[in-house]
Amino acid sequence: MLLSLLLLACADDAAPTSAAAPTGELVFVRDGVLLPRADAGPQGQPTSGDRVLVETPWTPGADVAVGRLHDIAPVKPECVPLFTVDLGDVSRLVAMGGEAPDTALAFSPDGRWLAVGSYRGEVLVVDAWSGAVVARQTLSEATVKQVAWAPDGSWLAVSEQSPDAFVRVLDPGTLGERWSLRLADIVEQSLPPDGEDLYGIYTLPAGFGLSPLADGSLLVVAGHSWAVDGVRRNRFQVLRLTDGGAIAARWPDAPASATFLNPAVSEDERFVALSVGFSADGDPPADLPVGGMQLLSLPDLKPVAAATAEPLEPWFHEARLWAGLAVSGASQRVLMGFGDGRLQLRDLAGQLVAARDTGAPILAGEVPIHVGIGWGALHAGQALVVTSPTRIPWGAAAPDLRPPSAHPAENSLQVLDAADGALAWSWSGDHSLQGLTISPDGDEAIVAAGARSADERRDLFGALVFDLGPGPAGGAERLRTTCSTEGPALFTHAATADGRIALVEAPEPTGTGGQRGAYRVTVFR
Amino acid sequence: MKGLSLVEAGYRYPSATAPAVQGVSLQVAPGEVVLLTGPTGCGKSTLLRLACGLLQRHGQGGVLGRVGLDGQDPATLAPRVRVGRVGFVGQEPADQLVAGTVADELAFAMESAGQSGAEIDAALGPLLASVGLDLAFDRDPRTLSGGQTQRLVVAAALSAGAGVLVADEPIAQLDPRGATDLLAGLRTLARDRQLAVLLVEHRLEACWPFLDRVVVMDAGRLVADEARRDIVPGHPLLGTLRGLGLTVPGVLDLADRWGLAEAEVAGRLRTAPGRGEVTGEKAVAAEAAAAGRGEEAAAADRPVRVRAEGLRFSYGDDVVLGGIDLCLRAGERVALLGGNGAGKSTLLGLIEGRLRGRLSVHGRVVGVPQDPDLALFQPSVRDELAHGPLEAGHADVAGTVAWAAGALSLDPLLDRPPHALSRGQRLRVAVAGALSCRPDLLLLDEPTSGQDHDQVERMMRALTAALVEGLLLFATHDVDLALRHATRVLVLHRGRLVADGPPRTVLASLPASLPIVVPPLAALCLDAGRAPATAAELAAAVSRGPRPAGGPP
Amino acid sequence: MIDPRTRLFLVTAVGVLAICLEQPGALGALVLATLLPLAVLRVPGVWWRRGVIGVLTIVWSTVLSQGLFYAEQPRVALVELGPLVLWREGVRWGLVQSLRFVAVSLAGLGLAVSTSPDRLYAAMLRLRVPFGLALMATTALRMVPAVGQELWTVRRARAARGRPAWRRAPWRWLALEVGLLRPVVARAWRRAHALAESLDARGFDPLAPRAVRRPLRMGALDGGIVVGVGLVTATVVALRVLYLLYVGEVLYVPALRGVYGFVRGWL
Repeated sequence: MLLSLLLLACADDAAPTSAAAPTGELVFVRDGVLLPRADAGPQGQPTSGDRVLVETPWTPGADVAVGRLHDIAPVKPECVPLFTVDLGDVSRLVAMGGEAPDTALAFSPDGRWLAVGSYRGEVLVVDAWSGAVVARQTLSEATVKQVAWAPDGSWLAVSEQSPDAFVRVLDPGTLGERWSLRLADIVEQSLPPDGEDLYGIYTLPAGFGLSPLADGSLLVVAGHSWAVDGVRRNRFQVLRLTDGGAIAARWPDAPASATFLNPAVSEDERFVALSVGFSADGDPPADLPVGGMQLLSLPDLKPVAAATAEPLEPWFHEARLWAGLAVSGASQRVLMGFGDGRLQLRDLAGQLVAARDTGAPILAGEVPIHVGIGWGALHAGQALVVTSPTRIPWGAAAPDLRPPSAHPAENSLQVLDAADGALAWSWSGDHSLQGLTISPDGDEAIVAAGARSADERRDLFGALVFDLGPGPAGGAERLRTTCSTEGPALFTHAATADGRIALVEAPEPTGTGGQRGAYRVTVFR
Repeated sequence: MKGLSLVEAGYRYPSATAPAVQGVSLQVAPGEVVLLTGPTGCGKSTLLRLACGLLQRHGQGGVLGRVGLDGQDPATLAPRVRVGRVGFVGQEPADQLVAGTVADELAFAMESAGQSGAEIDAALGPLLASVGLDLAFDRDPRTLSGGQTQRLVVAAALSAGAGVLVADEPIAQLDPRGATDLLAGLRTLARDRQLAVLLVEHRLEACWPFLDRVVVMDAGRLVADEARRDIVPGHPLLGTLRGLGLTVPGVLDLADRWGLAEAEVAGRLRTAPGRGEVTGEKAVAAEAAAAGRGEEAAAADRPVRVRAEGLRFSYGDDVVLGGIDLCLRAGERVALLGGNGAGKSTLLGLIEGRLRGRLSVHGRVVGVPQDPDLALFQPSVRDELAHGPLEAGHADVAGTVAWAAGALSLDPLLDRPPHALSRGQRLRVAVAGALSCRPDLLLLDEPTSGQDHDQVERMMRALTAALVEGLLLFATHDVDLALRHATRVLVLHRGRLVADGPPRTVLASLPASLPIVVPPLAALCLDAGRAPATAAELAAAVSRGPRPAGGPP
Repeated sequence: MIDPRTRLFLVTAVGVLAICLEQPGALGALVLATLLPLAVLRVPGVWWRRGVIGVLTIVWSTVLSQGLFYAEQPRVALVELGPLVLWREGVRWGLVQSLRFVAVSLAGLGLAVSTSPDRLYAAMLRLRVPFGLALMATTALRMVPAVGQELWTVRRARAARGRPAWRRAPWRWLALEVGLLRPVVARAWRRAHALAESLDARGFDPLAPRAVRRPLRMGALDGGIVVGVGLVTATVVALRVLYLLYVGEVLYVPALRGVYGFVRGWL
């Protein structure tokens, strides 16, 4: 910061000597301004469109001068798209009305590169400032499930959903393969059912939850949920792979008939929490906390604790945990946000510390309504959860039944004290919120505005950026800026320490058979 | 024994109870041209295919008697041997082409006979010359005219050295000039190469001068076999031919009816009553009147149906019609004359709207294509006739069908499938189908092509009566037809209109270079200053001969 | 000149490729490839014009009808004009079907206009095609242009006498459309008969060896074409078979994933 002020001062001194007239204007973004390179002089970080970002603090209403330009700062910063990466045509998938196209995003630790993996099997490494494509490769007959950078940025791990479910470690500059492991050898191979099957690709084996660890090893969940002769099966196992692809640890000893989606690694890399589910025929395995959480120690993948919750009868016949799961070694907490709306904070032994009925069912007149907890995070002593739009519980659902009113906790980001579960602040809006990303410096939480909520406005597609630092208690003041996309933004997003945000958007059906928008990644600042 | 010989020969089709042909004994000696004729369905074509061995090899029926080609049964000859003995030529020249170049076409039979490449190459030139053709060897035969194609096919059939040629209506698709050229060529070949030629044809007038013998068949048996030079007026064969509905060459026919020698007919035509005036016979009267001045003047008041000034048409660089001025009115019967490729079909196409051109056409146009079969697409004759009025939403469909059927004598055939009918009947159904649309313009393209003269005659008479207010335009190379049924003749030559006027005036002064041949009797009538008519009509009008006129009226 | 056997081979290859290819782009390339020999044959301009109009009509009408009436799911609207929606999947399907038809038709037409029946015969018999089949195939090919012309004449003759409106009387309309084939078939039969008689009369014997003025000779060009096109065709067939085994869950070879992806995306 000091350096940039110094540079600013130098630039100011130099300005009168420049003969050319100003060519553009200042765009005020979070903690900086964007301006044409010609107006900036030698300072700043070049970005796409011949602009530079000059990091400088500004206060609303102040006259700010940068390079040859000066302007009055606005109340709120803008969120400006730097570039987009087109990911091809997914209109067929969108028309099938199923899930959004799986997409993977990851900024390199130094923020220079962005790795993108697409539903169509494309892996790209682009310059994260300019959008220039550095390397590109297509994995045939596969969807890229996850991309993750080595802690030092020296390699890029890519997992896929395909008949083989390879985990590959690639050279980021060329995408040349360093090593790979075929997970289908562990959780069995299966072939895509008829191409027209709505969930065809999701029945293939895949590598979930790629998490590079500081020691250079790689955590991955090998998973496979499919059907053999009409009988549905699960095969899941958590693996820790050495640099080179050898299996250093695994849990359980043999692939289990359960699902371990969304593994969450604690910030100190001492624990990994798994949400345990079951989607096969027959009885779930009795030794696993199905519908709950399994905590394992790292790096040896030994069971540390497990916790489940009773089904919330009569509205729910089972408890479900999806991405509302987080673990923190520093806070000594496990966060469990259930699909029925309950929120639990447990200690590392699995004991319940606090419970909140955040989105649990309430009656709106005669009709029960609830919101689910979709995503959760633990950060710096805070617990964060993102809730869904208002729904009717499964047990009361009927084809024509619509929620008569909104649940008070719908479409919200809630921030609580991780120690006791007390609500610090919350923000709620009109749009369905998707995903939760905490910026690497911990200053910001990013939540995408995805599928439309109750009203017909479309201008809120994009991302909401919240301030996590010490500050105001109200949610509205916490919303720093909004980054707009044309179509609904998906739950996959990524952020850099310097404030760049990568969002994925997919086309949206118009209702008459057409589609609006495109499948692409946009990087904002 | 050289040449073709049949002894008590016959053939029974597999499903038939009686033989189609039986007890035929016939010889065609080298150098002889023999015509085999007879009414439709009498077994001529069967006999022909028997003679060249086609039926023996491919038919499933029973062969009776013996057939000999140079003394050997064609059924026992290997194809490579047989091709050196007998050649066969069919009706439609284009359908008989098997190769892509003139040379390959000629070489095919020689290749079958096992001749060497050098032998074949040496034979090609003389072969072409023998049929009077001068063509590039690599030319695509499909680009030749009908007459050229048929001559090429004849040369190809004989190329392996066959001593016998069997031809089934080889001039059916040719214009008069083409027909004469082909027949003259055959005559020359017969003389020069000692070729035995057996020819089936019902256009007797065209063949007559080139024949050595005439053989007549009826109901599967031979009924006459006479040397042509013996057939003079008074010969009983003429009565037989007339009795079978066959057309005897006009001058011979009239001479026979009048009891004169052929040479005396011209003089008699000049002196007999009816010259330059309306003769007694009704049909002749109508035609003469239509051609006369009075009606022409009246026609000028009739509505114009077709008008064109400087009408041009070309396919790419190929100019088919070049600057034609035309005004056709209701009530006219217009014959469009010209050789193959003169532009007749193109002009019809323009009027019909098949082709685009700058001309104005008023009223409903219905055309009958050259191959009338292509206008028959309904399961029964009745449906065929009802199609037009039904689709036009006429109130009295049944009445229109009955009228059209009556006009073309189709009443007994109304429930038959059109494609099961004879060729002449199919033409009448196609024309009746067009007529039932009550057209303002009826277009016929070569209605005589492949047709029995008698059939066409009857149809034209019916059309004259049915189309009083309409415009009839028919393209033809049958001059007789034009003379007898048209009120006006247009002569096209190489895309230009070279004559336009009343038939007698136009045809009396035709340049000799046109490929249009005025039949001898008509020519004599014109010379004598009287309306052209058939021998029967002339004989009925001037029945002064010692012998009463025979045959149908 | 290319040997007629090579030409037969090319037509067969086009047929096989038309079946094996499913991507509009690949089929479009196939159509372009079939146009190449037609360009070499110096077909007259008027035929080109008619051909282009014909091809465009076939493609356009198929694409439009399929695009408008596509009912399968999923489907994505390409153009929405009020209640009329042009579905992308339908357009694609129409394109695939019509391009297949056009490719095979063009190849057949090229053979029909460039090769005389006797050469074709010779080629087929040398290739040990049974006589009857060879005759039928040759006759059919030979008749392609003539039958087209006749069908056109029949339609004109019908149009002049009035045609039932599709809306007013769909069954009559349909019956008539079928009936239009009647005269064409009858005429084609007569033509085939005449050709067969002509061949027989000229001593054609399917069983006996025959002298040939211009013997069939496969030159270096023929060899090159057969090997080149054969390799391409065999490769495409092999790829398609591998792909079908994969999607049919019969055989999956992880090393061939790139191949599977290529077939799905490009063939």
